Amino acid sequence: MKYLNKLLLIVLLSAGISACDFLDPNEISDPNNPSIEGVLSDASKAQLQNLVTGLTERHRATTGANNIMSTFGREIYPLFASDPRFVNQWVGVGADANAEEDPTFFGSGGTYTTPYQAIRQGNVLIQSANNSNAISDQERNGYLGVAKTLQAYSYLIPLNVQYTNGIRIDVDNVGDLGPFLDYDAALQEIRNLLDEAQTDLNAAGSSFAFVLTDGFDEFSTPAEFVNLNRAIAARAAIYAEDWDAAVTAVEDAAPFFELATGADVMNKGGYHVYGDPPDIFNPFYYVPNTTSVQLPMAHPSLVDSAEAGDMRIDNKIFVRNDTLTLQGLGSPYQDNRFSGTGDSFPFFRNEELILIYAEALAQRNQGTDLVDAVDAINVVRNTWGLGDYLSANQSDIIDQILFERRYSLWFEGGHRWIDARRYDRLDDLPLDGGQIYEYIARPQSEL
Amino acid sequence: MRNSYYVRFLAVLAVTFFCAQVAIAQYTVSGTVTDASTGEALVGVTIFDANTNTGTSTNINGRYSLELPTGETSLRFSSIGYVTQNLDVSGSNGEEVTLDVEMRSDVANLEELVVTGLASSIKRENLANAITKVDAADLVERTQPQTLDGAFKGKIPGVSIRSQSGAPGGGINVQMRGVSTLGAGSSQPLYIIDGVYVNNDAISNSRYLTTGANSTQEDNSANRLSDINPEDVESIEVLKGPSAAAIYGQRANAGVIIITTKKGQAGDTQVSVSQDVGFNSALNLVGVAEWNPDKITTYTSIFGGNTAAEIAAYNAAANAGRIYDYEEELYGNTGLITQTNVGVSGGNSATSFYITGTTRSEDGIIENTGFDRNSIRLNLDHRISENLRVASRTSYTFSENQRGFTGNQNGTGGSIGYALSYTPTYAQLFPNDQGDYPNNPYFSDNMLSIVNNAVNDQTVQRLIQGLQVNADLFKSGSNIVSLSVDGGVDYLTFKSMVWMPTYLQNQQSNANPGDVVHTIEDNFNSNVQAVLSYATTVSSNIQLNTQLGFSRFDQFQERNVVRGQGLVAGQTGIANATIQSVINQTEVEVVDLSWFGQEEINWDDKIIATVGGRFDRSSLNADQDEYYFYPKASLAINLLNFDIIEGDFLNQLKPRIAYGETGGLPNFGVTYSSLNSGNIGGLLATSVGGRSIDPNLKPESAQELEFGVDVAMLDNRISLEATYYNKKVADLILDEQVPTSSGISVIATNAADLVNKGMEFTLNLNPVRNPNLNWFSTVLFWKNESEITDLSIDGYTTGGFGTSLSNYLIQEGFSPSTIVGLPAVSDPSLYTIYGDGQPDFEMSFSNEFNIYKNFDFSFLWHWKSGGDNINLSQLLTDAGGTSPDWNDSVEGSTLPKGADRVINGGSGAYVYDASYVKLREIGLYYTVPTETLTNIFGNSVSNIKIGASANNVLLFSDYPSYDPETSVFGTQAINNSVEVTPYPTSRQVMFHVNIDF
Repeated sequence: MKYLNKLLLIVLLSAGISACDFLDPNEISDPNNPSIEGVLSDASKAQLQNLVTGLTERHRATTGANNIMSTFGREIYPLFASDPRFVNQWVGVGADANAEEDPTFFGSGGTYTTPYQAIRQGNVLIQSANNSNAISDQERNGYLGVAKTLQAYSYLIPLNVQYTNGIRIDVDNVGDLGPFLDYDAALQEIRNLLDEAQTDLNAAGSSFAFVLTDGFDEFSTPAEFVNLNRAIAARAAIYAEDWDAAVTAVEDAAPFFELATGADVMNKGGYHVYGDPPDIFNPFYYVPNTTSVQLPMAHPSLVDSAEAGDMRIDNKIFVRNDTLTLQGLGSPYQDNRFSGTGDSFPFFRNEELILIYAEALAQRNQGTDLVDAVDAINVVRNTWGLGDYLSANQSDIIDQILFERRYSLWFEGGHRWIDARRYDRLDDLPLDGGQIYEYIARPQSEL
Repeated sequence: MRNSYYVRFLAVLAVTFFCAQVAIAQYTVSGTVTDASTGEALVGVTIFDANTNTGTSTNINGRYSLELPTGETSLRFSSIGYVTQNLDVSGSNGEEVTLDVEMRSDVANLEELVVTGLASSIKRENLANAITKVDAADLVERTQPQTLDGAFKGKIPGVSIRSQSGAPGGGINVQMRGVSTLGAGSSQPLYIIDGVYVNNDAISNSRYLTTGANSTQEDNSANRLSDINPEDVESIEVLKGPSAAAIYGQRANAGVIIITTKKGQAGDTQVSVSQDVGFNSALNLVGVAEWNPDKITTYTSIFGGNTAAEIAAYNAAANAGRIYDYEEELYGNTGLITQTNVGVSGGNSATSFYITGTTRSEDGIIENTGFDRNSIRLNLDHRISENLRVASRTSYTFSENQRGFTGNQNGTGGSIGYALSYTPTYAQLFPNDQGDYPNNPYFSDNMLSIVNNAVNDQTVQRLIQGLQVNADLFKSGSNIVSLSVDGGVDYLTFKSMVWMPTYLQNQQSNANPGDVVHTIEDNFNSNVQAVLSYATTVSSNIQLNTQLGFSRFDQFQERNVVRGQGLVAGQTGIANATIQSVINQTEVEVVDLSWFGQEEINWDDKIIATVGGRFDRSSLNADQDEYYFYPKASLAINLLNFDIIEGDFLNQLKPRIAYGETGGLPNFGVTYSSLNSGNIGGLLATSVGGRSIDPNLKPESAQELEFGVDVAMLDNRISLEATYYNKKVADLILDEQVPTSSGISVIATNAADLVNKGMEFTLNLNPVRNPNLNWFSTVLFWKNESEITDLSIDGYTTGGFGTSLSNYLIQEGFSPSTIVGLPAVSDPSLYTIYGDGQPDFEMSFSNEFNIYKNFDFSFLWHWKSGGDNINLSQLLTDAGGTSPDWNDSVEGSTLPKGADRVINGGSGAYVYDASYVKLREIGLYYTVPTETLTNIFGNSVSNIKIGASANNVLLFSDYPSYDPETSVFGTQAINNSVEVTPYPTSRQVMFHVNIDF
């Protein structure tokens, strides 16, 4: 029986197959990525280094809030022709545009989701560092101090955008998030976190057990990183209108804080670095005179209101060969700050610290505070080719500080919108046929 | 359904299995089998003698001859589409008996065999499910479809089929009995070709990187069923819901489509050659609004721009006679289609073969787009011994596809339709004498330059090999134990290149002009299944069929995408790029394992019952070792076989009921909690992704109860199949949107149940049946309603481009395809409801006329009623001033209509009813009479058929765009009715010549 032989073959074959794991295959793990569990307990120094770098990467992504917040503050026009909603929703000219009511407000993820991803990364780093046996306690404090400082930076973004809605601070446990705190309480928590980070950094020895990107060159040791920590604390303090604390924080941020003229002095600070793939490009660099209508353009009022001879104008923008127009908004002024896709983008410069210092002094208004404030203003003005500002009137001085902040911090994260709101001047911003929002509605995922 | 190929299949089976019998005292019975109404000779009618287990089939002239042992016996004459007849015959030794038979049509196809188990089939008469079977005559022989799935439209009740664009090479969404997943599982049916689980992925070429579109979903990818040569297909069987598809377990929630390819038949070797030539042209162009100085003034006052300069440009163009219809320039071309097919088939009683080679070349209506498919196939059947049979199915396909640049883009002009929307008629975009294209001042790129210079090419090489072994292990009387082992491999390699040359307008505006993306994706599927069957008859009229088996499915995929930016002029290699990046280098690995059993009980064809179950595990589940159970049961009762109802009026009356459960697996990756890698400042970063995991994640499961009745009457000239189903899909996996303050955006979790309820009717008619006119008519009607009955997470919106442009609502109590938009409301709907993506009902009407024996005329109408699209093409043309009705005035507004829509319309303004009536297919063929052939060619040519046909012939719709069938996001469970400047649909007209030798 010929066929029986063949049948035998089949049976043998099936037996051979069942002998291996054919009928009980092994578990398949993710072939493409490392797992989170792998770092949460007993992470190595190399794994912690990767997490620290991951934190700086997530931190860099927070520039995603820059376009929308700078549009709200009318620092730029979002001339992105691919989608009419940049103008309709952000500038608010659309019939149904209402950031304050719309939980799915167009293009708002960068003001909320992205910074919270940096916060999550910080929490994973903190947990991994706490559970790691590969580092000393002193080294551990370095990880914690850096993580908490950058978390605090990130918290300020949703807080500024959500404003009176308040935000969550306790977000460590994904399954059991903490409550929403109102604006003041949340801001206090952020300032506490900064103080905690300062304590950690102070107990972190003379050097970190990890390296940071070149953008943190100014803050490469625990002692230097405290300067960045205090700078962010100063920013938070003026939001809290805690002027004393702001002055102290600025002073504690020295030598990063330096009250001296010179472009180099102004531009000292922390930067997001960019590069060619596998790194990413600076998202704010556009080819000069690019023909495609796909870029943020300086709001014409920036130039219209400028003082003659202000070098900040020439440094930051140039006049294009043509005016770009989209949906009725036109501007000939293109961003001039970057010369290529690899240029760094600042997240905190000494120039801001000087103006925070001026503002805190002017607001405190004790002793020589007003004079000192005017001096600080003039350090900035003289650097950019402008003559001294003179005034002894507190409110004039504050007006002048806001004016200087507008030019010094143009399109660096949306300061003008926050400043205008802090001083109840949102009504002074140009409407451009749209509306000026006070805040963005709480996102749908939180409702 | 009267398809000769299927008959040949049966014939070969019969010949293969039973020819070897030799008797000593015998006589010969022979004769001609003809169609009773037309008198036409019938090919491939099976003649079977149950007493001796012998049989044969009729040849091309309808002749048959069979040797029988002396004495009396009953011969069964059967053929699909005809009523089976049992005729008594007797003869003495050496006698030659003539028995001519006339077969009567059977529109109900009661004899057709339908798959009901993993190794068993049942004749339609006894079937307890509404399984639709479509064979080649209806699928691919009326007109030539571009792709196989494109030919399903309007032919399968209960199935909603949508082309995603008109690009050559396909791209089709097949949705059976409503929504069966909300996106976490496969929304597409499982395709099985000759026992091989085949890949039907829409493989992305990452075009979005060069066009700035949002993701791979917007790449206008073709699903890979397009590699299958429709000419090779014998029939498809459609298991629409869990009640029929339960035997396929965890991969069957979206239904199963079983494709059988053609086989050779024993007898003289037949050679068949066919040549087809045809043309593609746009089915429907939208038109462009007129421009003039007044319009320009109005437009620029609303949307900005230099009014004086634009008017000057317009006047200059108008005076020079250089006003252009760019839509016509882009889409107004005629594309040539050619197809050549050569087939050879034949064999003897032990071995049969079927060899074909087909080459198809199709140019699209946009220049430099097209689809070429070259395929060869060898199907081999061999009987090693009476009890051991093997079959091999081998096909190799090489396809090339140029899909062009349509759909969405951001900031690059990398979609010609998008750029067209913003380009007025007075724009000057044609190249100069040197062939250089001017910049498009109205958009990021000159679409004429994109068409002629940018490249979007892809090739697929694919080998599908199926192997089947059937062994009868034990036979005694009515007891048969048999083993069936089958399986195969599907290996495909996808390669693509998308290239934006350095000199394009948008590239020139980049820091690094020139952009190229190369993709290579390897897919390897393999599956094997072994089934042990035991068939027996107890108490003479109860047949039992028991099956036990297991199957394993393995999938391995590797995908590599690399990109180069800043290219050396004219170069496409990554080595010639300033910036070289690896976009993807990922693997997918999946293993499924299943055990199953089934019992069929047939009491004298009166009551037919089936129970079965399947245990499945998969590495896609969170618990990879856990087995999940999918049961099924069905009952069919042939009332007429109880002899209670008298008379001949009814030919069949069969109530039936079936229940079954199936599963839907999570997508690969959602059960892994992973860190992502990145790079910043030369340092390697690992960061927490936006996704977390649910350790208790289960597969989606569907339970379906289906019942209905099949009726045939008036001499089988009318048959009706009516079915109602209630399909509940439970434990739907949703990406739960956790509060994003957690730093996590989504967790895949079992969070919803939904119910699909629907009806399907199939009415087959044979209203006229005489030698000069034979008319068959089929009316299909189906409707489905979906509702999310339980949602354990908060309602949310998904898909589209956000609620401000309308998208889809996932909320308890609503259809999952509900379209909502701003403003938000305080109702459970969260937002204002503007429509629903799913149709209210669909109907089709097909007719086939055989006139004076030699002419065949047939056509298919398809009506889809309801179902809304989000038409963002119109949003763009409104913003660009180019919508055809833009200049019209509208009551209560000072703005022109187009401007009013975009400014005052709100987010519901672009939701449109996408109902349509289409004349999908039409065909007219003439078969040269045999006498004429004999007079001219002698016996060298056996058949010549010539004809003309057309696809997508007519469209009637109020929908304001190219085609109500469209989906910018490609194959999607929910998010599949959004339009953004698609590749317009083509009308295809073909001429055919077919010669058999």
